[in-house]
Amino acid sequence: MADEIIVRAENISKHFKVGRQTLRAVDGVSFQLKKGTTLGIVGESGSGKSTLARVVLDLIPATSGSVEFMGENFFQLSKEKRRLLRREMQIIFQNPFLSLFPHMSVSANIAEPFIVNKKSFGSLGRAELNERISGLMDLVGVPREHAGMYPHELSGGQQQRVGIARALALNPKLIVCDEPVSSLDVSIQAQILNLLLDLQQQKELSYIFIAHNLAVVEYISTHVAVMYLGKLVEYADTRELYRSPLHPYTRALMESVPQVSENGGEFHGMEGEIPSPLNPPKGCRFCTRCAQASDRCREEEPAYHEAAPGHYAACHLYD
Amino acid sequence: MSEIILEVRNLRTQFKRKDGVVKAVDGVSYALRRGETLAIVGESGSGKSVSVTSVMGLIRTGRQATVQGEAIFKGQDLFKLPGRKLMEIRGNEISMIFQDPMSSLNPTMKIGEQIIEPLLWHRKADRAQARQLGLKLLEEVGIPSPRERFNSYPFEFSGGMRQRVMIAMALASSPDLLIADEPTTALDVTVQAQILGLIQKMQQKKNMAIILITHDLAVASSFCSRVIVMYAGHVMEEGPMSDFIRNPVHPYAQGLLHSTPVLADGQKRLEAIPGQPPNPKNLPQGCPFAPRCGKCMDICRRTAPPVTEVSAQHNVYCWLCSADSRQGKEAGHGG
Repeated sequence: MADEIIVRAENISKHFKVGRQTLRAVDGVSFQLKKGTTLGIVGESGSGKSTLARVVLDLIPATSGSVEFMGENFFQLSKEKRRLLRREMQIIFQNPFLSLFPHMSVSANIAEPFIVNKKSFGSLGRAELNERISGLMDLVGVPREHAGMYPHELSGGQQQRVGIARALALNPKLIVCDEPVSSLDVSIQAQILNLLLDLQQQKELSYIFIAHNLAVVEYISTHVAVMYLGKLVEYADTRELYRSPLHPYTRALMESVPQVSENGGEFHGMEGEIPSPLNPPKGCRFCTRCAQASDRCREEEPAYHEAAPGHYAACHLYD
Repeated sequence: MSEIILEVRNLRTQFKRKDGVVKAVDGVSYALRRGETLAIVGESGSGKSVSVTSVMGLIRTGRQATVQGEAIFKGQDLFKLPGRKLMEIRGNEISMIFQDPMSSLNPTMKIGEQIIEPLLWHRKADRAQARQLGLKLLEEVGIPSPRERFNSYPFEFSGGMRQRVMIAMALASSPDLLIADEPTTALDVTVQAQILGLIQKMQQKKNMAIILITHDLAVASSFCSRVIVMYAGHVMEEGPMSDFIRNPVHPYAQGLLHSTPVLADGQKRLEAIPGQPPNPKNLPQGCPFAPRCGKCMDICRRTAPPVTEVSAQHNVYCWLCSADSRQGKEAGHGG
């Protein structure tokens, strides 16, 4: 059971039409997520991390490719079955205030999933509903006295806890966390990260965790995927990836992260900025910023393959 | 040691609200020497931004807000200067970079015009000279093909490029003091490293003093030689950066360091600081951190801690380190 695969994404692409051009936000990405593990997705803004997550959640339709969730091919199911299956996956957003209903109290926000899914929970009486809400609030550490308060009366950390409670309401198997801590202060960020880890242990949850903070991703993830301009450029288990990153992009990302140091430091920024996804470079998409790029990189797109056991990379250096 | 260019003494900034008084900054003092880099570190609501916007005269005082204390910049108290004089200093001898470059640039004005505006306003150059200087600055901050970009509008730039423009604007008049308020928080890590590297290079080249306001200890420690840690409008600890990182004394400062995830550190569980920052309208009596502090004693809840010197220039405001704390403990046990 430990190796049960909960999400299997095959060759997912999501293209948007922008005027007459095509924006390839996600371009042929495949990954697997085992039950009870966390896949961290890192990359700069515009790399396609959030689009990928939204495709996996069936919030936006994929242009091509398939997603298998709990053994069922999502895109081939009937509408009703798809809806029921979608209940097993939830999302936590970056801005906890904007993702809660501002005109609804904390308890009403947490109750909403039960009300939306009335068909299945129609029998739920007022008392039982209240009990479930209280249980969820205890689980995420929101004091019960806050049940009648409105989101704007809570701090950012508390709001995010309410968002997590709502995501947990229907007992999902998979939670997508889209930058859940990037708007929080460090001391609160650590509280939320620890809460997510504890919940994962208790409920055998699987997470897809999107963040731009590499240290946060390392802390919470069992596996990490690095994205650049819609492509997966590297994938490995967390220890392996952070100990021996292969792709020059991953290495450059890690070198850019400032470290707490006694003696000050220099900043090693990679040259340039991420190119427009409307007009990605030919060959390897990273070639315009890569210090090790050769002529081949500018012509031929590198294949995504297993460069070391369990460690995938798309780079001509490891062919 | 070089001269002190800014000395802030006992700064208090308060905002009056219907339901109470917000003590955003409550008795903060610091001094900055020429060419020195100072980090003010704290979480949201700690008063780190207000402590510098007050000094810059950017808080409209009156019935709604009061600013007390002294801010001596090159021998003049900024709080006592008439508005006209202050405007001659601001944007000229003291410049500021803000967090969100899009909302601090004028969206209807060409980039080049915005860069040379302070030069023209302060009559440092005529139009032709200013244009030359503006082009040179754009090149210095790493904007490719500055001649064409000079006539672009802010929306045509990426976030990183906009922040470069802000830096060019701030540096246009060669200030003695640059205040950077979370300059890289809205940017990607790769661009953050570029921008911080750029500010660092400019600082060394022009020997400016810099106050960097940030919530990120890693950024602060790589950039600055001195640090002030603020919490709920109070200074908790201050000192040379290397001393502080090696030996943080205040439980809040330790908590901050331990709750920051570190890259390639294995997956040691983070020690989060429990609880929430206090409501600024209703600060606890005594030490503001006491309700969240694991080492809180009775005296902490009653009286604000005095300053204690840990080592040269390294000060902490905590009863645990105070020589008087033993008395406090005894009194606490007795009561």
